[in-house]
Amino acid sequence: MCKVYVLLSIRARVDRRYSRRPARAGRDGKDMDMAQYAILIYEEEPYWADAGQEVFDRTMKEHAAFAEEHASVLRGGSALQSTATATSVRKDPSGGFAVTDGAFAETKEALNGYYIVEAADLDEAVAVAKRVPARSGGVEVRPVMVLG
Amino acid sequence: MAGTAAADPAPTAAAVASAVAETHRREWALVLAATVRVTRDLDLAEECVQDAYAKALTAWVSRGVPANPGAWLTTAAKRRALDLLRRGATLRRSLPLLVDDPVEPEPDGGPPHEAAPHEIADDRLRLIFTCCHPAIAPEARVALTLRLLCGLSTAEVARAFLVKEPTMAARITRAKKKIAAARIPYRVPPAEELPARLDAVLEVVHLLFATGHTAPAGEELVRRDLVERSLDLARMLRALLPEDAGVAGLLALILLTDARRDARVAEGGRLVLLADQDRARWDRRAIGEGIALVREALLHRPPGRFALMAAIAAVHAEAPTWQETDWREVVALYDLLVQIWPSPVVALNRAVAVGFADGPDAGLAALDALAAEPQLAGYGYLAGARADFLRRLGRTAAAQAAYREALLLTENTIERDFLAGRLRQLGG
Repeated sequence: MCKVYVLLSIRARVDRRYSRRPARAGRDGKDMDMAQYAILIYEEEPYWADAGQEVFDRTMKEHAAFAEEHASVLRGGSALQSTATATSVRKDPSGGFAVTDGAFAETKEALNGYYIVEAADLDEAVAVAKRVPARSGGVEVRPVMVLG
Repeated sequence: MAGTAAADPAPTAAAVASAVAETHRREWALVLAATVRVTRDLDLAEECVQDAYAKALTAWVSRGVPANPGAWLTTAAKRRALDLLRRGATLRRSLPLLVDDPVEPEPDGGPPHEAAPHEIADDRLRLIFTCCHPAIAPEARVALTLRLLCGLSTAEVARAFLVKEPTMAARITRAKKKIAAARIPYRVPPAEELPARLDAVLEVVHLLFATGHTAPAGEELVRRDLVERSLDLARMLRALLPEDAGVAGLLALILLTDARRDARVAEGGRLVLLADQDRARWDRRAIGEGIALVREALLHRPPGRFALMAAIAAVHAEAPTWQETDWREVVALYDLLVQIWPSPVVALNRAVAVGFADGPDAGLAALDALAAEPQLAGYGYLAGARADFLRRLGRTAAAQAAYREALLLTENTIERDFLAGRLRQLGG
């Protein structure tokens, strides 16, 4: 099955909603200090290879519903194609590059999509993460690094 | 400074040192929890609290031990923190600030006002819920709790868990970094999350108690320090959450189990089984307190895990002799416990109780039903319990083999001595 697994239509929806970022008021009336988290979706590729069109379509609907529901905190997200399409690029000792077929690490569950969400703290981010329709694996919540 | 009403105008340095040590034990969590609210940084708060304790050593000699040492230390630590924050002396700080509810601004920009008692209570709960957050690795939750709630040094925490100090230091540093970087909030969870989050806290306190009550390895059967710390924490939670049945159950369990401490170890550190303990040496005050708490905890429906475990301990505590133990009641309580906490270890304890209620044959049958449990493979108590039933059935050769198996699986020196003694009695 050579196509995008999930989240296909999410990007457009998210982009549309960038301008609707809400001002969350804290107790003192000022905007609360917010942080961004990446919700990384790890799923079993064999599951998706075997899943039919019907499961795929249902999952897409679930992601669309998720994006709708969490539009106010979503700041980005994409689906990734399977690791069968991945290319790894590493520096090699001679100063050149080794370009090889496949993902960086062979694991049971592979990264196949992500969302970026805004949350006040980890508890809020985890609450959103619990709603991500990951079908076969799960999600990992990682704080986005703030630079500067 | 608030609470400086001197109880004794000219205490000796030794008396002050002992008052400071006592306050360290009793008030560390209170002082640190309040200071974190000012610093929003765990390391900085720890430094300020240590500084306050160091100041107390000299200040209390000249001015007397204050009537409320915890309030004195809190004020001193918060002042130190505000001072450092104003001077910008904390720019070296590498971690982001803790996520916290807004602190009420000080009216005149002066030092923080004395918190009302309910605010103090709230801060200690913030601290323990942060230390026991599910996003922190379980072993780090225990370490952070000992360090931040009990005020143990990293070296002491390392000793408690028999790991090297650098290993424990790395574990604590990593956990603190995660709290800051992932923004684990310094907050009491909302009502809908409270039961599950409180379970995680009780789990940590229970693990501390269990580790102290039967040290998994080493020369001592009981790590008194850990037992005392777990008791302090359970009492603190009881004071802060007086309505909670789970807290009442855990405190009851610790009290009722620990009430047997003097009867449990004989001269030379030898382990004395419940059956052979001199019940006159049990701590009747702890038992009385524990039983009252069990009754309260059992009113909650359905009764929780710790309440049921405490109820089992209460049945033993109320039996005048081993022979008069109400084993039917014990088995019935285990039947309830195994429903809400279906662990093979609980099933094993239930099987042992069946052996006393219905005879060693029934007990052996119940144990053999558990033989296939993968979680019990390598668990010394299963072999030990089988050995005991086989011995009582007069099946000497099989009993010897089971004692030998139990010996292979036990690392606590005192438990090993006990098993070896039984084996010798059987001529093995």
